[in-house]
Amino acid sequence: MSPPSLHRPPGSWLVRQLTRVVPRSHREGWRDEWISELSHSTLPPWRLRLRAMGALIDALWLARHHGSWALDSTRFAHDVRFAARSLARRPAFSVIVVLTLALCIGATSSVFSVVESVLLRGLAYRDLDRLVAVWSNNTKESKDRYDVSVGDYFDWRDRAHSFEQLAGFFPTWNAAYTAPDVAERISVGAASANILRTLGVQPQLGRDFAAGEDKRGAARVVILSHAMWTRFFQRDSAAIGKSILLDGQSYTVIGVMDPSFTFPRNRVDVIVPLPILGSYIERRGVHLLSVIGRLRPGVTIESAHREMESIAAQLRIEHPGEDAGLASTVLPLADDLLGNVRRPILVLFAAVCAVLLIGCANVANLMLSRVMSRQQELSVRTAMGAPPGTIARQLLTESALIAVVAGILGVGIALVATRVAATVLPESMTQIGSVHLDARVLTFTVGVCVVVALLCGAAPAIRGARRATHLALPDAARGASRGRAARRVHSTLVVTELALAMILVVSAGLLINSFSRLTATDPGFRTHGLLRMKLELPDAAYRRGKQSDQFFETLLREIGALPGVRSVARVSRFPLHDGHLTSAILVDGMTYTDKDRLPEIEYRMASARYFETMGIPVIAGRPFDPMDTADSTAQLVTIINRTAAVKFFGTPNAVGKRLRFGGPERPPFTVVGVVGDVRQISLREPAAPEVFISTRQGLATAGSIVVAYEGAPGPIVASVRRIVTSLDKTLPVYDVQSVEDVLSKAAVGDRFTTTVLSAFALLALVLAAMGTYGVIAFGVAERTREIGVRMALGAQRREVIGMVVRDGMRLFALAMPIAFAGIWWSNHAIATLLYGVLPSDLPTQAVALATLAVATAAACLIPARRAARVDPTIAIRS
Amino acid sequence: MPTTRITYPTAVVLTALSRGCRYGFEIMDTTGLASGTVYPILRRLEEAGMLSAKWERMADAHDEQRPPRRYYQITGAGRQTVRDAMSRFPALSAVRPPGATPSPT
Repeated sequence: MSPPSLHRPPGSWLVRQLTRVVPRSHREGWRDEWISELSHSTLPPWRLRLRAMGALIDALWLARHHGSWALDSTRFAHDVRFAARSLARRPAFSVIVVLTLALCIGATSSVFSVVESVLLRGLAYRDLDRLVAVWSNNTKESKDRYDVSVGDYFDWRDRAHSFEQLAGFFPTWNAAYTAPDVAERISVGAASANILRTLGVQPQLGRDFAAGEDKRGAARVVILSHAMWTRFFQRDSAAIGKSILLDGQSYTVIGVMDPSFTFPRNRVDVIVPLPILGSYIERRGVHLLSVIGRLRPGVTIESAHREMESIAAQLRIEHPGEDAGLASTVLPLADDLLGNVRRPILVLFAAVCAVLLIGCANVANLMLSRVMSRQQELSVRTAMGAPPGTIARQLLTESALIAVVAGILGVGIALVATRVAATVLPESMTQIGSVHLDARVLTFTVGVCVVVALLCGAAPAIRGARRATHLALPDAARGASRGRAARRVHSTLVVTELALAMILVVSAGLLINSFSRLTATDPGFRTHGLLRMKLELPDAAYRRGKQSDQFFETLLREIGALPGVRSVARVSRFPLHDGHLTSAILVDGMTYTDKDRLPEIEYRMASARYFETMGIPVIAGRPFDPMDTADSTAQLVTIINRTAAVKFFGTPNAVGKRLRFGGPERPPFTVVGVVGDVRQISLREPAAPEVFISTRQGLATAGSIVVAYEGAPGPIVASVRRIVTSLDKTLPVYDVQSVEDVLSKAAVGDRFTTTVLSAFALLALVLAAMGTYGVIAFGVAERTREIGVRMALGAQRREVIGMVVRDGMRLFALAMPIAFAGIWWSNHAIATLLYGVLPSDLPTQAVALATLAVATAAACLIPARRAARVDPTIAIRS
Repeated sequence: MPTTRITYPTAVVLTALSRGCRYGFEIMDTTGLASGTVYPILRRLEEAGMLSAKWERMADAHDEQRPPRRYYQITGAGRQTVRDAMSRFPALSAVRPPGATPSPT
C-alpha cells in the first residue's frame, strides 16, 4: 500500500470527503487510487472534477457491498420493527403521544400554510422589493395614507423620475355584467393602462393594456380574471376578442390573467382602464386612487420619497385649492399591502410554535417516564451485552417512528384545517393568496417532524442509555437518589410548559376581552331586525331627478306596505360596509384663505325615514321629510351628526346653521337636524364628523335599501325582489345582508385571531395540565414509602394532599417569572390587535393566570388523592 | 469465486483491459465510459477473479515525483469471458487499444 499522497489535484477534495463513506477496510487504498489517477491525468481541471464525481458512485458501491451499510440497513429495519412492537405493547401511551403530536404538527402546518400563502407567496409580483405604494399625505388631518386624487396621479406620473412605472387604480369599483341569462354585479379593478407592467406580470392569454388605452375616448377593453374566465367562458381561449357588457357598455376582452394573480387590495373579476370611473376621474379634487410605483434600478425608497415631496410642494403652489396641505408618502408595497394581516398571522404562528413546544415537552416527559418504567428491560438488555449506544439508538428510533406517524396524521389534520381556513379566513388575508397545502408546507412539516423527533427523543434516549449502564450494577436500582436527576428533567420540562401556557393563556385572555368589547360596541344604529340590499339604477335608463325619484318612491312605498316591514328607507352607503367618501365643507360665517385645506367630512345621502329605519336618534331638529326635494321652491337642507355639530359649531344644537360642500361657490345647505353618532368606517374607529343630504336633493341613483322588519327576513327579501322585478326586470338586487351579517363582517378579522388563539391557549392549558399531572404522579409513585412513613407517624390525609398539591404549585410558581418576561414581550406583539383594553390590563391577566392555576391544581389533585390513600403498613414494607 | 453478470459496459471494460489498458482513467479515455461506471465494474471484476490489481513499485513512482498508480491486469478467466462476450456483443470489436481514440469524459 502506498503512503498518503501530498498531491492535491483538482477533484481531490471531493475524493477526500467521500473517503468517509468507504468501508474502513478499503479506505486507504481507495483514496490513494483516486488521488493518484487525478494527479497523473493531463485533463483540464473541470473535466477532472467531473470525473471525481464518479468517486461518489464508486464509494457508495463499496459501502453497499463491503461496508457497514449492508449491515446498517438490516439493523435499521430491525430497530424500526423493534420500536413498532414496543409501542404496540402500550397502546394507550402510544395513542396519547401520537395524537398530541399529530394535533400540534397539524396546527403548526396549518398556520404555516397561511404564513406561506399570504406572507411568503402572497404577492407574486416581479422584484417585489422594487415596488412601492405612493400615497398622498393629508398633513391637515394627519392622514398619512390618503387616497390620491386623479389629477395628482397624472401629475406625479408625468414628473417623477424615480419610477420605471407609476400605476394608479381604484380596486373596489363594481359594474353590472349582463349577458344572455346573466345579470350580476361584478367587482372591477379600474386601473391605469400600465398596472400589469408596474406589477411585473403578464396576462396568461391575450395581451396587456396598451399605453393610451386609459385615455378618455379610447376603445373600451377589459382583462378578465382567471375566475371570471372560468365561470363565464369555460376557459375558452376564443373569449379573447369577444365583447362583454358592463353597465350596458360594450368592452372587448383582450386578455386573461393566470390563476395565481391577485389584484392589489381587492379580489376583482375584471380589470378595466380608469375611464370606467366616469365623471369621478374628471375632477381634480376627488381622492380615490391607490398608486403603486416600480422604482428604477438603484433608486432607493428614501430618494423616491424626497422626489415625491418636492413634486408635492410644486403641486401645492400650482393648485392652492385642491392640493393645499397635501404631501406625499412612499412605502414598500409589501409593508403597505400586508401591514394589516402580517401581525395577526405572525402572532398566531408564534402561538402555534409555543403549542408545538409544549406538546413536545409533554411527550418527552411521557417518554422519559416510560424509560424509567422500562428499567428492568433495559438493564437486562445491557447485562446481555447491548452497548448504551444501541439502546439510545433504539429509543431514538421509537421517537422517530412516533414523529413519522404523528406527522402523517398531522398532514391529514392540516389538510382539513386549511380547507376550513379557506372559508373562515378574513377576506383581508384570502384576497392576498389562497391558502392550501403545497410542497413548501409539506417540506416545512417534514422539518417539524425531525425537530419533534429530536426534541421528544433526545432526553429519554440519553437517560435511557445512561440508566441502563447504571442499572447493570447491582443495588444501584435501590439508590435513594434514583429519581432525583430524572425528576429535575421532568420538572424543568413542566416548568417550561407552564410558562409557555401562561403566555398563551394571558394573550388569549386579552384578545377575548378585547373582542367582547369590540362586539359589544354600540355602532349607533339598530343591531337586530334590519336588512340591507343594494340596488343601482343605470344612468342610461333612468334620468337622475324626477325619473329616478319616482322609481324609488314607488319602490319604497310598496316595500313599506309589505307585512312585517316596520320602516324602509335608502342610503347611498351603508355604514361599516360600503367604505367611506368625504366632501370638503365650508361653514357659513367663517373665512377661509386660499392656503387652507378645507376640512373633510363623511358624506351620505339618505331618504326620509332613514334615521327611523336605522334606529339613529334625532337629537335636535327634525329628520328628512318628503318635502325636501330638488324643487327650486324647496330649501336645501342637511342633517349632521353630533360630532360634526360639536366640531364645527361647538354645540350639539346646530339647527339653523348653514354649510356649503365642495367650495364657496356652491349653494348653502341649512342644518335642520342633528342625529346621533354612528361608527362609519369600522367598529374600532370612533365616529367621524358626518353630514347627510336628502337623496332627492343629492340626486343619488345608487345605494342600499334598508328595511326594518319584524319576524323572518326571508319572505321580505323575496317580496322585495318580486317588487323590483315587477318595476324593472333588468335590475339586479344584490348584496343582501342582515345587520347582524354586516356587524359580524366588521369584526371578522378580530374574530378569527381571537378564536384561533383561544383554541391554541386551550390546547396549551390542557397539555400543560397533563404534563403537571404526569410529573406529580411520577413523584408520588417514587415517594410512596416516604408518604407511608409520614402517615405512620401521624400525618393526616389532608396534609398529604396539601403536600402533593404544593409540589405542583411550586412548579407553577417557578414558571411565573419566566412567563412574565414572555408575557411582557407578547403583550407588545398583540398591543395593536387590542381594542378597548390595554395590554397591561391586570384583571385580565390575573383571571387568565388564575384559570391556569386552577387547572394545574386540579391536575395535581388526582395523584394527591392517590397519595392520601397509601396504606402505611404496605408502603413501608414494600 | 463469486460470479458476475456480464453487462455490455462490463464487457467493454474487460475488452479494453484485454487490449492493453492498465488503469481506470485510461479505460475511461479509451471507452468513453464515465468514472462512476468504470470503477464499480473494476471492483466487481476484481472480486470475480477476472482481473488482478497491483500497486506500482514505490521506487518507480518516486523517480518520477508522483504517487504510485494502481494497475489492473486481465486474468485467464477474464480473457475467456471476453471471448464469450465478443459473440454476444459484436460491437466490442470497436474497442481500440489505449491512445487510439481519445474520447470525451
